[in-house]
Amino acid sequence: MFLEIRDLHKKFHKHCAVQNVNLSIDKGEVLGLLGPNGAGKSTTISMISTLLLPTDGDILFKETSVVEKPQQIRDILGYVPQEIALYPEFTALENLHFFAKMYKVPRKNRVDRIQEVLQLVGLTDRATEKIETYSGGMKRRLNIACALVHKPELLILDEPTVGIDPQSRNHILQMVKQLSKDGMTIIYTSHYMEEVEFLCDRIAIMDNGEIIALGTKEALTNVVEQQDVMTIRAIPVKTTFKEQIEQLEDVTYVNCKDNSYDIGIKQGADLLPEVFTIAQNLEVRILHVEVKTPRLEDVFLYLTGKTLRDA
Amino acid sequence: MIIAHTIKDIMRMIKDRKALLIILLMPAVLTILLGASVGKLMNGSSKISSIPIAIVDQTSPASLDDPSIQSFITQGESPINSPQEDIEFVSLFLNEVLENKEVKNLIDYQVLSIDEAMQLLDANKITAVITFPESFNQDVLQAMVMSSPKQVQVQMKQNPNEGLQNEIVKGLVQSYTNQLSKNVITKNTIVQLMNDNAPIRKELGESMEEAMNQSFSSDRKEFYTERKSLQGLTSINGIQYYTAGMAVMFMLYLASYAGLYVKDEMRMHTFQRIRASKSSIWDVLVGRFLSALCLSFSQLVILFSVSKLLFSISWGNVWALLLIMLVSSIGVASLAICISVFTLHTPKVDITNIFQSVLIPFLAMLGGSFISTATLPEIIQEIGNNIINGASLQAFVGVMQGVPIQQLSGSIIAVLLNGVVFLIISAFLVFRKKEVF
Repeated sequence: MFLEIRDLHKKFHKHCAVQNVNLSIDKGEVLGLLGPNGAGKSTTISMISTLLLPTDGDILFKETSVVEKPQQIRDILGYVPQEIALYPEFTALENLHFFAKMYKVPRKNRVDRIQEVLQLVGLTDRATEKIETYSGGMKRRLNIACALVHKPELLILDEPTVGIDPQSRNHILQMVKQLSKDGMTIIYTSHYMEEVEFLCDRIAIMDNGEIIALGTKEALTNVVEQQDVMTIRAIPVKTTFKEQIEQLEDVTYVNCKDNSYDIGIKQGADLLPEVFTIAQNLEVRILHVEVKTPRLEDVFLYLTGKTLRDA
Repeated sequence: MIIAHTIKDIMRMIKDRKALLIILLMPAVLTILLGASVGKLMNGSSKISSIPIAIVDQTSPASLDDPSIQSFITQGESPINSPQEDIEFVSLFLNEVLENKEVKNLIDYQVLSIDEAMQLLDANKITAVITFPESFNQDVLQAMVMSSPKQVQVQMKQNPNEGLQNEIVKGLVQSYTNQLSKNVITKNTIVQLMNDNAPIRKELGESMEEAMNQSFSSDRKEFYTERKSLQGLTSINGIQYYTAGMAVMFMLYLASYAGLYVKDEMRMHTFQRIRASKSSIWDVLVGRFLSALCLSFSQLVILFSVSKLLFSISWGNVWALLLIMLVSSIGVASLAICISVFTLHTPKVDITNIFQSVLIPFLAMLGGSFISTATLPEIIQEIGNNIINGASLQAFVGVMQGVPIQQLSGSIIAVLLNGVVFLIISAFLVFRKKEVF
């Protein structure tokens, strides 16, 4: 096993940030950690990256405890923090040179390797400029480049596309996909469903510090395959409307945000007439109705009773 | 790897214009301002207004006719002739030391009774009372002649509020008693040689007689030498003093920047990224130590050079000055480590801000960067002279005054001890909170 996580726990004072996390990752696999902010994703990868010590449990890299021998994993690890972890007063080249030295990239290969990663992230033309002049997307790409400069075996990316333009985001996703094709093992955390769906072989859904579901995208959607999702937009918003729909037979859950209602219904059930009757009785006007097959978002909703963005 | 950290830290400081302004321009400006204003008061510290002291002479003249001396003398083959005049060592002190032209500019003495003297001292009208006890002359003579002399004492009572003046008076009395001691040691050596070696006994006996007579004569060459050493210290002017004062104060600011940069690295998460790499915390800390050492040394060299260029100040012994700069930089680098580690250890406490806004001004005051510590109470002086900036300042001022480097070893050791304490605290904090490091 390339990486194995056993009964991982992390407590900050009385708050339990991570509990009972068990995972295993094969070499060359891309694992997605999906969950809302505060779910425990960053804490988990901080422990894998040896930045935090677990309160309990262990992380084994090639059968060796990372907790006892952190240097073992540091030698092959590329860590991309959620923040732009770069020196803004330095140029891209200066940043890359510094981190290449931190990863002990041999002097004779250093310049070539730096040019390779600059090309990979599309920043060759701007390499000699101070990064405080870069756009958010360029900084994000350089943030990744600094973690790739030593050709790591394991790449950990903590929400690498937060707050950037679609073009840079697409560039990053394509780059990660390519690295995966080249055989790199990747742990990718995000609360963007579509990124995880696009990149990852397996997905672990986290909430309140626990892994609540783990498997391939197909296996996870199977969890809710016996049901459809009906989305209704209606005005005005009335609590009684939601409560009465929840009481209907064949309804598994109702999630309301603004004037939009996501309703889980058993597959094949015809609830439209009853929903319209309730609306009429409560003088609620239905603006839009849509029935769709479930996606990861719905899996999360099914498992936690809340959407990723609500959580 | 360590060098990579060192270069990175130096580059960050060089690219930080605000930091450069604070650690280089501000001390230079303050040196000029303080040197030109407050420093005027110090100009020619040799011209400090006369220090009033009282001499209480309770002595009786010494005589070689004392039975114990006579019995000792008659054991020898060549008895020493008794001098014609009375033997009075106090007169020597008054006439040859205090009446010396240079000392007279510095010391204003009057011979008084003990009661009168103590009244003036209690009323803060004089700085010190030097009392020669009744048996002083006889004790000194006995010490010079006999092999087992009595202990000779000079009593000095001082006004505790006048540190600098006290030091001067103490130095005068010490130089005088030291000279007497030297004579006694010389005599003892000769007596020993005479006892051990009969053939040269006669010759040495004659030499000793000559030496003794010379000691009693008014031509006190040894006192002259001692006085010269006292006045041999070059007085330093305000610009010189404040060059050192501001340099040692602003080297503390340089140390505080280490904490500021650590905080910045934590905020930017570059520190976490470094920790997740192949670099250990010790690489980071040793790199920071070296960068702070280089930057502090450069800062001191630049500040002293600017003062030299603008005001032609005297550096004293250049090699000694460079040594003090190096030692001070080691102390500052250790402090930088301590601040860095504390920042990492307790990120919620804004230690850098507290250090910059509260501790540095306090330490600067205590260490004498603004006004000489000689004006402070003795206990405060003692602390001030032993904290990192105070000890460095003492050493810098000493070098510029022409004090030999050996005599500055106390200050040098104090600076290094400060550094050792900072490093021990740092190591303790690192081991205490291993997860952070």
